[in-house]
Order: sequence, then structure tokens, then C-alpha cells
Amino acid sequence: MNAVALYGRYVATSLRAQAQYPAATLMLTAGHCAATAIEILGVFALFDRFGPVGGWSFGEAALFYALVNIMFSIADLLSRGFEVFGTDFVRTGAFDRVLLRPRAAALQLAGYEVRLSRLGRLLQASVVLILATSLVPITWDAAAVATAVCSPTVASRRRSIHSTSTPPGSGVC
Amino acid sequence: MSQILVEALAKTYRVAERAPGLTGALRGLVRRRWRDVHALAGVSFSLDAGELLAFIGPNGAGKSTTVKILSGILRPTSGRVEVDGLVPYEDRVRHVARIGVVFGQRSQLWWDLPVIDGFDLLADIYRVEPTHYRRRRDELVAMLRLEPLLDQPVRQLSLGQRMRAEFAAALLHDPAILFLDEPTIGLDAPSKLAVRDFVRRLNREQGVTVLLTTHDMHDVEALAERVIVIGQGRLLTDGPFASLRAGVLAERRLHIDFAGPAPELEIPGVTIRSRTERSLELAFDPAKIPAPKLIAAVAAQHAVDDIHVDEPAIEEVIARFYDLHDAHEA
Amino acid sequence: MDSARPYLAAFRARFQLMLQYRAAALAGFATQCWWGAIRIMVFAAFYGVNAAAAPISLADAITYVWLGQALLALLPWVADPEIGQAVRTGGVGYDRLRPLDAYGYWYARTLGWMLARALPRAALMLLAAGILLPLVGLGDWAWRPPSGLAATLLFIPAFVLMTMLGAAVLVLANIVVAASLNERGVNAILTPLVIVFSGSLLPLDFYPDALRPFLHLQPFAGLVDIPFRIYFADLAGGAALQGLALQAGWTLVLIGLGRLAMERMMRRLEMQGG
Repeated sequence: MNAVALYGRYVATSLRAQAQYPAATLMLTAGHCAATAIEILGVFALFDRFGPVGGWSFGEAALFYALVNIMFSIADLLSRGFEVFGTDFVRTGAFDRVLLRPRAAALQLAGYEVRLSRLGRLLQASVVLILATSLVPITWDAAAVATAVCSPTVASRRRSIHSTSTPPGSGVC
Repeated sequence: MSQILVEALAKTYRVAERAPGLTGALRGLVRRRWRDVHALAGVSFSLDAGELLAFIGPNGAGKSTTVKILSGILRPTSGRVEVDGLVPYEDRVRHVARIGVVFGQRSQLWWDLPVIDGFDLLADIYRVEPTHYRRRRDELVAMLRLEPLLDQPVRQLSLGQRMRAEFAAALLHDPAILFLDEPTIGLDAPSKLAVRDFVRRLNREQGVTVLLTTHDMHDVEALAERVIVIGQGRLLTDGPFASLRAGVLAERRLHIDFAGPAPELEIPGVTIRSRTERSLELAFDPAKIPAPKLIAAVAAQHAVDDIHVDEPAIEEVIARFYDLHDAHEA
Repeated sequence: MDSARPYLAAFRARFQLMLQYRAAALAGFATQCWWGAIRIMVFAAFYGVNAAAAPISLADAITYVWLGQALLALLPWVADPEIGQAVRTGGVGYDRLRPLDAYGYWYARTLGWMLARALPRAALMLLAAGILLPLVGLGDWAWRPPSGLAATLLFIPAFVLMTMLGAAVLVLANIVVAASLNERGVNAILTPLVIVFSGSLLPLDFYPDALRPFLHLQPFAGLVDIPFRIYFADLAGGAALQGLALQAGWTLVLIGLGRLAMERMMRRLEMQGG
């Protein structure tokens, strides 16, 4: 079985294990969604109090935030093995077993534990994206979608009404 | 042609020294002092295909380090290792495809998956040809009586059941060499017997080379013709178990129950180990005075109810061996 | 003093354990400096547009951020991972075998854990943001000392209380983890709750004005918002004393709740046979 197919197998295995605990998985996803929602809450509070900054309104910042977070949540979803490499693999001796398999260690780590709960952030970012689209005059034609997928920076530049240089720290925390 | 070749193997670790107490901990935060730990200090041996070797030694002697180097997950500091023509830590992927490893008490199977699903996944990982895999799997399931367990998630199995599944998992890809690291630890008596029986069959009938590390001396007695003792990173002895025993503690024990009160016995070459009102335990060297002669000598002069002869317990032999070689827990 | 020995020992053992992980500490420090810098830049951007709308000065906001980074380990936003592991492996039952007050033991352990993680970080942060920044001419962006003698004096009890309150929250969370066997679920609720309501995300006064009365009275305010505002004298005199009282009051309530929860859990473990 080649590497890609094996990766698919690993992912399927991880999902099946989580599917055995549906209630816990759902609660974790909801919790993660709430936890990440506080970020946009903070941003909103600041914009609400101070008004637009450097030509960016809340809607535009929210759009930028949503695009970045969608990308981040997908990456976060797929990289758990590397994240917990120290604690869950080296410290417990599980890494020995990884090395004893005739496969690249990176492949095995990549397929380790695809956490469905990380979709909570994806969900939250999608909601913010919808919210932002209602606040900002943007039409999602093919070109816009393509740029959004390839580069959030470029997409947000195009949408900026006052296209001065991007102010420092406008990348939301 | 040896299958496994180990020459002057050495492994040294650098460990951070930590002074005890709170001030020590704080100082350790700023400046670290290092110390060299010689886990292995020049070990050499070789193994032919189909051999069964037991690897014993006190804790911290270097057994696990040797096994890890042989399986390719650890790099030695110096020395030469060759397994089936490959250097394990340099050709990791090719090497591990040919070996099986069982760690006692640690399972490689997926905790939440049914056993059979774990097997299937392993078949994919090891790229085992499907028909070959199915045949091999069914063979192992039959040998290890895993039929009723196949559908259960691994977390629901008892330790004995898990170890049996573990053995099957390690052998699905038909390795020529099997490393066993304390495979019977924590198992109940029937499970231990089952594991020993399985390993013996594997080695005798299928010609699998087995390298076994264990603290359980009964494993050694039951399985190994050849024993290597490692102490403080060095090889202390390499040879048949019988010669180890003979070299260390050649004596035998004779237990006699007398019809009347236990007499005072004075026989040259025989020491009295313990006595009760009606019995004696004698220690003697069978090379100097054979058992039948001794029994006849005692029975000729005293009325004897019952006798039996045995050898010192293996643990005693091994402990004595460690003592003789000053090999203690590191 | 002999009766306190086991608790002191527990505190010390945890403290020493955390000091061992040097590389992790340094990496964490670098991350926090970066994180602090970004948050300050965000504030600076907003202040640049409309400083009048802000409830505190930019200098105070900057100090708030640095204080928050320095003392982040005192914030009870994640349950002690050791408890989660002890629960999974069944080690929790062993606590019953020790001749100790279980709640006191957990409290001492938690305090040790938090302070061991906080103090080295705070020291480093003080060096970097409090001393280094002014030295290289970035004094405007530095961590300023407390505003006056009164503020300094009042900050000491505020700091002690914020630590005690944080430990009380965390022990309660750990008990819930141990009782429900669900570490991730508790974290999922605890983290956003604490980060928002303590004032860690934003000083509480930045939220819409209508929410102010509620925000100032809820228990988590004493974790960050109250002590930090005492530090730069945004809360002074009578208001500061009220803040301290609020911290102390909630600490007592949470310790009380914690003890009750601990008793119930221990009793349940006894009945179930651990």
C-alpha cells in the first residue's frame, strides 16, 4: 500500500476511534468553537469602542480573520502528531514503535489523531466569513474565490477601500 | 554465516547532573553539569539463523540498549552491528520489515480498534501480499487461539489476551527474526506457559531466530539453550545454560525425612543446610559424590521415610552469578 | 509547623519538577515576548486612531499586557495535565491512602505548579520588558513600575490574592476533571471563560459599557483585571480596597465549593471502591 493510501487509512482509523464517543466529540467541537470565538469577540470589542483603524473596518478585519483561520484550522487538524511528538511519542516510548515500522516516521506522525474537534475553529471561522461578507461589499466570483484560497493577504488588499500600506498589528491576534 | 553479528558495541549517554534540593534545581536552570553513562562498554557476540538466545542481566545492565540497537531504533557510539547483511540503524526501513518485536506490557495495536482491524492495518503498513497475509493471519489466530477476541477492541482485553494478540501482530509479516523484550512480565501462570510454548514452537518448527530478554528465569530454563549475561555494559558469559549453572553453583540438594529423630551426619563433601526434628537438607557436589551413593550411604545407617533431590532455584544461581562478577543493578 | 510539612513538601516537589524543563521554559518565553509585542501593536493601532475612547492610557495598557504575559502561568485557564493523567491511570485513588487533607494537598500542589511556572517567566519578562526595553530607548513600550507607593503596597495583597484565587479555580476545575473523567471537556469550557472574564483577553473596561457592572463583580475579575488596575492605580484608595475584598470573597467561596466537591468525590470513590 503506497504512502498516500496508507495516510488515508490512518485518517480513517483515527476518525473511527473518535466516532465511538460521539457525545464527547461533539462537546469538544462545540467547546473549541466557543474557545476560538473569543478572539473575534475581542476584535469586535476593540472596533466597537475605537472605530475603524487605518482604513480597516470591522467587517474587513473579520474577513481577513476568517480566511486565515480557515487555513489555520485545516493545518491544525492535520498536524497533531507533530504537535504532541515530545509528550505522546518520545516520553512514552511510543516513538520506538514508530521507528519499528517499515514506513517513514513523518508519514506515521502525520496520520496520527486527526482531531474532529478542531473543526470547531473551522466552523467559527466560516460563521465569521458569512458575517463579514454581509458587512463588506464583496462578490464571491470565481476570481475572488481563487485569490481567497491562494492568498488571504492578496484578497484582503483587493478589498481594502483605502489602499494605504497595511498598518502594523492589523493582523488580528 | 551468522545472521546477527555484534562487534565491540558501545553506547554512552550524556546525562545532566542535578544537585538535590531547591537550590540545586534553580542552579540547574542556569548552568548544567554533564556526566557520561556507559550503557554498553564493548559487547560482542553472534547469532546463527534459527537460534534461540536468552539475554539476561541485572536492571540497567544494557540489555534493552542492545536490543534497541539491534532493532535499529538506537545508534551505537561505536562498534559494528549487522543483521541479515544490513546495518540496522542505517537501513532502518528495510531492516524493520524483516524483524518482529514484542515489548512486554506495551501493545502496538490500536487501543480503540478491534483486534482484526489492527491486523489488517498492520498488513497494509508492512505491505504484506493479501493472500499471504490471510493465510498467515489464520495460522496465527489458530495457534494463539485468538478467534473469540478478534472483534473486540484492544482496550477490552486482559493482559494475557493482549499479549497473545501482540505476538500475532508481530508475526503477521513473517519476520525471520523476533526480538522479545520481557514478554511474560505480569502474565498469570497459564498465560506464561502458553507464551513459552508458542515461542518454542515458533523457533523449533518454523526456524524463527529468537532473541529474548527477560528477568523471569523460568522463561530461560524453559526456552533457552544459550544464555548471554550482561552486567554493567559488559558481556559476562555466553554459552549453554547448563554450563552457567554448573560453573556457578554445581551443588545439589538432598532432602531426607527420617523415621526417627534426624541424626548428626558427618560425611565428607556434604554440608548440612538445615535441619528440623525429623528431616535434614544436605548440600553436596554430584561430581564428588553422586546422588545414589549418598542416598545409599545415609539409608544404610538410618531409617529413612522419604527423600527427594533437587537443584538450587534458578534465581539463586543467577544471583550468585551476579555476585561473583560484581554485576549489580546500575 | 510539623502539620504543614506534607503540604510544603508537595509544593516544593512540584516546584522543582517544573524547573527541570529548561528548553521548554526558554521557548515559552520567546513566544510570550512575541505575543506581548503583537498585542501592544494592536493597542497602539487603535489608540492611534481614537485615544479618547480608551478607558485607560496607552502606557497603562502596555503595562497591562506585559504584566499579563509575565504572570500568565498564574491564570487558571487549563486544568493540570497531571490530574488528567492520574485520572486516566487510576492514580487518583492513591491520594486517599495518604494521611492528608485531600483538598489541602491538591491546593498546595497546584500552588507549587503555578508559581514554579510563573516566577522564572516573570523574572525573565521583567528583565526583557522592564529593563532592556528602556535601555534601548523603547521606554514608551516598556513595562512600567507601579504608580506610586500606595499602588505598590496595595499590589502585594492583590498579587497574593490573585494567586490564591487562581489556585482555587484550578483545584475546583481539577476536581471536576477527576469526578467526570473528562479533562478535555472541562478545558473546553474553562479556557474561554477564564480568558475573557479575567480580563486576560482585554481589560474589562474595553468591553461595551453596559456590561461593566457585571464584569467588575464576577469572580474571575480578581484574576487579572483587579490586581493589574491596582498596579497602575486605575483602582486606588477605597476602590482598590473594594477590589481586594472582592478577590478575597470569591477566593473563600471557591475554596468552600472546592472542599465540598472534594468531599463528595472522595466519598463516592470510597463507595465505589476506588
